[in-house]
Amino acid sequence: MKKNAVELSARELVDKYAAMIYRLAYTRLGSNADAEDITQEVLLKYIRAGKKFADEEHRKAWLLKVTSNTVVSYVRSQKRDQRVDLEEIEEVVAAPENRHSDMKYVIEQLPEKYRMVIHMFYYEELSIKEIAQITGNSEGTVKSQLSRGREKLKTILGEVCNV
Amino acid sequence: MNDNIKTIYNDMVENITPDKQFLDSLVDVLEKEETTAKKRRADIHVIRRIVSAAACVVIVAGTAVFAVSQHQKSGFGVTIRQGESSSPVLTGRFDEQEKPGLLKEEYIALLYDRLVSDSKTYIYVNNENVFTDEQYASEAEKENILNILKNGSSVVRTEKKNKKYYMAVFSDGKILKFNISDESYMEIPSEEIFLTIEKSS
Repeated sequence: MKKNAVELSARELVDKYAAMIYRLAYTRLGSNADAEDITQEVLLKYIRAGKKFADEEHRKAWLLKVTSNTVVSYVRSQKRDQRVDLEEIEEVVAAPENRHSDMKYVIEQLPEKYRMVIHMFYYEELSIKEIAQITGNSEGTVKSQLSRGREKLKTILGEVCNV
Repeated sequence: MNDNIKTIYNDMVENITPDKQFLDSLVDVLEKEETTAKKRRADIHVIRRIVSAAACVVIVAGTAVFAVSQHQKSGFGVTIRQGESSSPVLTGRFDEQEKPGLLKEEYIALLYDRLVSDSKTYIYVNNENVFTDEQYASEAEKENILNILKNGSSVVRTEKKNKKYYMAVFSDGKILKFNISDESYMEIPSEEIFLTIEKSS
């Protein structure tokens, strides 16, 4: 075990990180149910891995990286499985309102490849280098995605909020 | 302007919160998993000690298994034998399908995911399909494995030069053996016996 490693209970883990994971997943997927699935999967991975972190910064970085990878795998599998079962259709019909309608619109308008990068840069306030490490892309790629993503976001927010 | 956009975006994100009921049920799920994981880790610790103590560990079975198909469920296994002893000291096998009927790409993604998220995975390397203690893969080799899995695609290839053999021992005790040739082609057991993945250029 690393020196000064701090273990978190399940409750502490959820209180500290569930919303962070959920938001990143929601930003990319635009669905409450999918974001919940990802949140549970990532936190289960964390527990199964039994990792110890010396500080919260490292724990957070690990969780963001695993979230990013889990979301990417999830999207890959979703794209191959376009089937929608009746239960899902009923769920959508039964709950037409979306709790995050503005945000959902922004996400839908923003191209997929920019969503997580924008979120990590603006909301999580990560540096380009950190985002590159998390996504496994080069810093150049992240810079360019960020620049194009910001332009798109500006236009979209202009429509939503008259910025 | 950018600050303005950041503020608006962050305000919107702030409103995205997981449902309280979901969070409460998540705590229950995680607590249960924690209990199971602790027990599993204790078992793995015992297994690791046995593996570390072995001066010469020989992999007897030629085919490692990461069971994906129903057919493989009872058909393959990896047995590690210690020294001259004929009794197996470790049997690694995926007894249950983790995800049945995976497509090749999903299977590759699953492996990548496991290698990235399971920090306690040990990866052994050798020029032949026999592994002894402390023959661990270097960081560069691990990085190469991840690169092949992350961006690679499934190909058909028969020529295998500069072949190196690897064995990954996951923290849950599962074992996966594979080989890499020319640092670009990874061959892993799959539903089709072997799946070859080419590293993207």
